[in-house]
Amino acid sequence: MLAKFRRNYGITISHIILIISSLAILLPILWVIRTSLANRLIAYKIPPVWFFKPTLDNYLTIFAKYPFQEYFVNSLVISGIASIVALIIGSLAAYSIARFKTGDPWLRLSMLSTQMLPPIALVIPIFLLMRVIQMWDTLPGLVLAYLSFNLPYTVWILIGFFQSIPVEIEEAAMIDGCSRLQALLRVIFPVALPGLLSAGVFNFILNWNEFLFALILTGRNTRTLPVAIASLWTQQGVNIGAVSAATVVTILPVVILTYVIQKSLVRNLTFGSVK
Amino acid sequence: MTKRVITIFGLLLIVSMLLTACAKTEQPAADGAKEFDGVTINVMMEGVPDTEYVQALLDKFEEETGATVNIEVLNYALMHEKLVPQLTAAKGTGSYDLIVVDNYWVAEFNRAGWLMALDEKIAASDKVNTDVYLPSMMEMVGKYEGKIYMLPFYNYAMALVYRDDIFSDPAIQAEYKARFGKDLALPTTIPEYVELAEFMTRDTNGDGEVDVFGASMQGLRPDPTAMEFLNYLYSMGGQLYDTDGNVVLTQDVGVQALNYYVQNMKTAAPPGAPSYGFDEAFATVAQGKAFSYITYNWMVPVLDNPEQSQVVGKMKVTAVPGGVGLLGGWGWAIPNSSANPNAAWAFIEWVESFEIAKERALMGGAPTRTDVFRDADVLAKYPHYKDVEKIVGDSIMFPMQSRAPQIVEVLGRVISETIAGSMTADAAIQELIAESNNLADK
Amino acid sequence: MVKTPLFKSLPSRDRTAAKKLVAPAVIGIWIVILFPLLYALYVSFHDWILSQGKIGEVNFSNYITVLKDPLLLNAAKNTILLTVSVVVLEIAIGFGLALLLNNKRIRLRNLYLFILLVPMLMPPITVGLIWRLLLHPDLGIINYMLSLVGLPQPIWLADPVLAMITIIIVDVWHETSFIILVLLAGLTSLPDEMYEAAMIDGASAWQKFKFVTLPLMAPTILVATIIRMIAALKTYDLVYILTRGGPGISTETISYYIYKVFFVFLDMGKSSAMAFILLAIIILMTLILMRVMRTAEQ
Repeated sequence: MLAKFRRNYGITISHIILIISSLAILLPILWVIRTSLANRLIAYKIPPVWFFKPTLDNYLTIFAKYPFQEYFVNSLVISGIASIVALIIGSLAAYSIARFKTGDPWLRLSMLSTQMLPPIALVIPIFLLMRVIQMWDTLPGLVLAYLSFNLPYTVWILIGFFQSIPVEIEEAAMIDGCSRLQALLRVIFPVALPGLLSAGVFNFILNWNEFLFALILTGRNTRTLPVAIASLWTQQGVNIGAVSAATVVTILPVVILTYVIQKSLVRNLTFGSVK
Repeated sequence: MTKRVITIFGLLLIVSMLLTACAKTEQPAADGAKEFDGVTINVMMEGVPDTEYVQALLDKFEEETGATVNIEVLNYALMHEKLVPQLTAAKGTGSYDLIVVDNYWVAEFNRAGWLMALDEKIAASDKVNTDVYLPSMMEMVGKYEGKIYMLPFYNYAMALVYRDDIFSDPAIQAEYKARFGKDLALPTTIPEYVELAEFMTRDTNGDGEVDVFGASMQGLRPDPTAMEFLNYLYSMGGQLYDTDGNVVLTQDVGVQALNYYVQNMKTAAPPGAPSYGFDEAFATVAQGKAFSYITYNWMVPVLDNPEQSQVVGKMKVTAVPGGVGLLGGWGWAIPNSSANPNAAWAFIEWVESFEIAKERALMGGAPTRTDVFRDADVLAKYPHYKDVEKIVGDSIMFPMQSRAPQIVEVLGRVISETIAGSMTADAAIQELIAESNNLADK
Repeated sequence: MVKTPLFKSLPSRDRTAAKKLVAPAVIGIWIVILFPLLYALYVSFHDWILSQGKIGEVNFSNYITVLKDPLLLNAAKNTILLTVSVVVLEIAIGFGLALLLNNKRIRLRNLYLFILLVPMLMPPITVGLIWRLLLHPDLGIINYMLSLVGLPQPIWLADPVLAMITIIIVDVWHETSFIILVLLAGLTSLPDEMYEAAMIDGASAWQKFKFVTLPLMAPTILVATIIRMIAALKTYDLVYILTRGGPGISTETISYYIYKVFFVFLDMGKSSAMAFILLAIIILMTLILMRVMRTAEQ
């Protein structure tokens, strides 16, 4: 009886903590949505106007005045291709490290160490490099840059995942006459699919929000959403309504994506540390 | 097996390249004999109203010349970061054919040799005559060391914007007279302004909290606070450099101006002002919570827009107290790396022609040409442009120094440290003078 | 780390194949990084201000000049203060929430998790701009709400001490999601058998946490901490948008300072030298962290 009361007490407290945390996240986001539907006067009015006639002007602005649909497609293509390519070549490396301990542990650590470099020091040389190989303001240019940031995390995530798949599965396949590559493609990858998916989404989110390299390596043809949002911030003030509308448009796809594969994300993003 | 891996990798690269190859195809040249058929002019501009006015008129130019104009719009802070790597590109290989240059960057860009001298083009042109520009604008965003590199695009001279309804309120006037023994008048010196701003800081609804501040101010590092402070310095007779580039700021004047600036920040500005950028300071004014604001001269029309403001019809503009504010402005320039300098020049000729400049002004643009300032239609729409022309003429620009962005950074930091109390005004000005000497071009 | 059995005898053919499988990833990582890295190293030993012309003399004193810069020292102090605060807070809060979310008896936990993950999906630039709107001392909704319940209304970004605290709060708001995700992923993959064994031994909840959860989670916490710490040491976007290093120099971080020396002063040589100093700090802190964790584990 007492134990049960205690347990329920614990659950109630847990709920209270979770509700407070969720509100801390949710309220600012709701305020952003509200601001995206208001003009600049209402956005800054204190005491706030709780009920006003919502306007879609801010959304019209970002789609009609600035071609946010183009930026959206750019972001989608760049983030998507970089994530997929990173997944393919990252999974090969992760498989190799997981099964054969290739270069362990230095290879793994050296991969992570590339993430320690301050991006600011690299951005101008990378810009010069992209000009030389004529990839400035092209989609492959940014894809290539993102690939080098995505790969270390991909490998880290997937190593753990491949380690958790019993060796016996592929041995069995190989006894049945598969080559190792066939075993990898036909047996291991399908089993590893949830892990691959999680790593892919994780990369996608990183790429989707990346700013500094996107700013320097893109021009008019390849501008991505974060750079486009930043350009709403002018010397004459932030067009806060448009920024809010753009924020809503920017996070909507990743929010939906996250919602769909939330469970898989939670199961798989251990960065190779547990399993 | 490795072969396959490489094949897959290769295929993916090819696919992604193909994808972009499609996106980058140029439009084929159309028939007809227009001068710049099939030419694309790539322009980098800042996201401000004046840019929008140019965008609105673009069709005419494209119609006339057959060129396609691509304007890439970016925010102020990011422009510099983006332009610099671009400008270092070799001759004729850059991504931008035409750019706009803020007055801070003029010396920096020219000293680095990134901009094309326009003298020959101007001499050969029957459309461009630099005499029509206000001399102060031409000095700032036109010439550098005797050559012309730019044509002035728009001005952002600073002025004092204030609430006329409060200023002409008889009750306030009576209270002022009772307290100071003189009639309420517009301040003509910085000390008077600081005194007036403190007087205007008041609790109007009796809830025990100040709800109208005497001055809306922007203490954010580096440029918001540096720009604002220079109005105080200039109006009190101080300057950082003389026209030959020697440091002429004296400790006395500097400390005085800084003390008045900090005093105003503490006695008449909202408590959050040390962190305000333009946006927060503007919102304070637009929400009717400030009596005055030293800002761009063309803010009155913006504050008269009911979509953005609660003080419609209540604002007036006058010169910065002391009469000498900070002049700012942008100029059109062709980078040496421009791939299409001739088409870019044709665009400048068009956009800076009297007709287009006037049209831009009528849409709300900030003029740089005397003939536009004095045009009857323009004056009919914006009667206060008579005063603005004088303000632009009297204002002083930021010193023409190639390391101006760094000087602004130092200036912004020492002011912010003085406000935060981690430095005395004395030490701040000492450091400012020392650093100004270090960073001077000589 | 749970070891997976290796193939007992690897045919040498497979071993070479294994190396080849790693190659594309290694190339992919270094192709974009190696040249810039060497170039930046080269530049860091030269005098070069971009606006003053071509690359100048060889100068070995860039590093010394930079290390003597009191502003860099101040930025280093701020960076370490910021990093330690956000990493500790985010790991503590993130782990706490992950533990709650891992309790299968809590209803709606997927909904809570979904909400808590949203900040991670937002670009840092929008997070900064939006918090500036929320935190406006006179016209922001947060101070208005505080005034309704009679609490004092802080001036947030305008006070030197408070500004740093505010940046920490915003960073925690933004980045704790990531920690929750990684730690929850770790928690859900813990083997149930250990808990069952602990239950049979009659362990209390606290004992289960201390003797089962914590040791098993240590590697995950380490990885999460390292990833987060590396990112926090490189913080510049929030500072750039919220305070520009002010008031005074109270919130200037190394990355923001490098950014300024680079993009505003265009001093390639000194900014590259500073970047390598930051790299050294990051490597050093990572090693310290790994050592501390290893000692704690034993």
